[in-house]
Amino acid sequence: MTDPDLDQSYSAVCQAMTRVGPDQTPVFLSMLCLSLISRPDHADQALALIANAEAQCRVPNRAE
Amino acid sequence: MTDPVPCQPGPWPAHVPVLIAGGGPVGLALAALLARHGVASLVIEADDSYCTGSRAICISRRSQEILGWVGADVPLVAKGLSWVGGRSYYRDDEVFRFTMPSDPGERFAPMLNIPQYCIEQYAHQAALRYPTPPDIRWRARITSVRPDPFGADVEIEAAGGSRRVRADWVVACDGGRSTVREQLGLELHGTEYDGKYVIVDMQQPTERPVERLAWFDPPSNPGSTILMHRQPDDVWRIDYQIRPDEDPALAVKPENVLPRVQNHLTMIGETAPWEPLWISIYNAKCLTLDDYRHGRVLFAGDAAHLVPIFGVRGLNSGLDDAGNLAWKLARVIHRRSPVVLLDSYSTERRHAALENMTYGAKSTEFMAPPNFAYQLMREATLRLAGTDATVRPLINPRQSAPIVYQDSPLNQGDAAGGWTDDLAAAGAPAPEARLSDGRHLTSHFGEDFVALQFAARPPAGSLGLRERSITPLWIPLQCGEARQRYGLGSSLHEATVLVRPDGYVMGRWHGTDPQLPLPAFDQSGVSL
Repeated sequence: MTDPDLDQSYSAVCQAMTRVGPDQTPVFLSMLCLSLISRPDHADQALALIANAEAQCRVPNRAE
Repeated sequence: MTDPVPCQPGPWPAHVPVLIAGGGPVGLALAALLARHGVASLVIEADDSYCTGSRAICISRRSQEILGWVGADVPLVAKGLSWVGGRSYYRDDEVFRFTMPSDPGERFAPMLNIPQYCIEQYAHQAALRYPTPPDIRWRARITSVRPDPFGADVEIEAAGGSRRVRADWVVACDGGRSTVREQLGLELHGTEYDGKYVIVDMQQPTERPVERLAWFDPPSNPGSTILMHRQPDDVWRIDYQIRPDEDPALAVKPENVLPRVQNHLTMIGETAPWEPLWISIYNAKCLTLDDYRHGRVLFAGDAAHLVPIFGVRGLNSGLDDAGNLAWKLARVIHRRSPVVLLDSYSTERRHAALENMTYGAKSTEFMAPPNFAYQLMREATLRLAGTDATVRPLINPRQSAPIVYQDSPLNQGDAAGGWTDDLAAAGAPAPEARLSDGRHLTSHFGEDFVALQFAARPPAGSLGLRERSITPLWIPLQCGEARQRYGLGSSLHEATVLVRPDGYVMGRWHGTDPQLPLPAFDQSGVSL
């Protein structure tokens, strides 16, 4: 994927989240995530991404 | 800070070919460029000197080239701090590093930091070196503009009372709150963003390299975003985002600014004593006029369009406006081109403004997320960026780059096939290259048309080209860099590329017969 392609997809996700609103955003992102993890040929690829994303969640939220 | 402004007040002229409203960087650059083309202008500026505060500080390679057309690049490069890249941090961790395309021995660095008042000063001084220098009136304010089909009557309030000047052409370079725009009853259209940034210039010696530095959610100011740029004379530019619930009027008070700056300087280990020089506040805007030509009144810079600061497209696009307009207006005034040529100024530069806004909006959505969605996605990007390189390009600040005028009415003959790429197609900014004499190709641009003739031997004769003030420039085979950047592959040996006075490609043809570009040139609307 080129950088402009990534930019375009990123903006499209942000715009879709804006349209569905904060309440629906978790289910929207979950659906999107499901669609994406069903694409790779093997589970290993998706599992590695899942593990990395989970690891980044262990970084504490920012101080308010 | 700046040299005194030369004092010149002679009698006020009753009639001028060009009146430039606004003596900021765009107005003074335009005055210098017009002077180079033999057109004297009258510049009306409300302030008594160059601007205070650094304001625009990042000057692109393209802007350095434009200022180079009038020789203002020499003091600019001598004073400014050149840079090629930067780094971004999320909390304590570096998550992104970028480098802009840059070669050893290149004419100009991709970016150069210098305060705006220096740009104004260098453009002004450059303008005064020509036989037709501009008449610059400081402390003069335009109060009324009454356009008609042949020009405009302009009322000016100045020392000694009000004056009326008749101008054949008026160019509004009078900024975001343009009086000329208001006088014509015109409005900018577009989007304004809520997120606000405080802008601080402060003085502190440092040994750090010159680069763009960005911190997201830094421990020094949790939740905020901070940008830092070095400027000459030990000055730092610091921009930081304020919270949505903060009162902007209070946010710029020193008692609120200084502790935040101090926290950050402490965090990054800059311990030398420092003092604030200038504090301002900013929110991103993507606004433009629908047309930059209204009869005999033209608009340039912030008077025509406002783009977000992120990506540094503000002054840089204003200087490109001046570069685009100067040669066209000069040709029209000298009766070498029809008036309709000026419509292409609006078409091309409005297209550029819309492109700049698209990029600027993307930068703004990352730097000042407009709602929960952009905020959440940015946090996801920053959290992932340390371990997942595929998302890092999203942090790239997307710095200003010249815009291609692919739909310009001036674009001509692009012989089908044979080119290796379209980097030098009609409407593209003519690529830079080193020539066999060591000079840079772009140093030949900025005055009149140039016909680049790629051939093994110097093409015989240039009749027809010189009659049209088109300068032929032979590019021999050994200039491999130029041949490659202009799309000449192994199957295409000879070609002609016609470059406009503003360094944009107008057309390209196979072969080097000097007659090749003439029909297209004569039918383009450039010639009478």
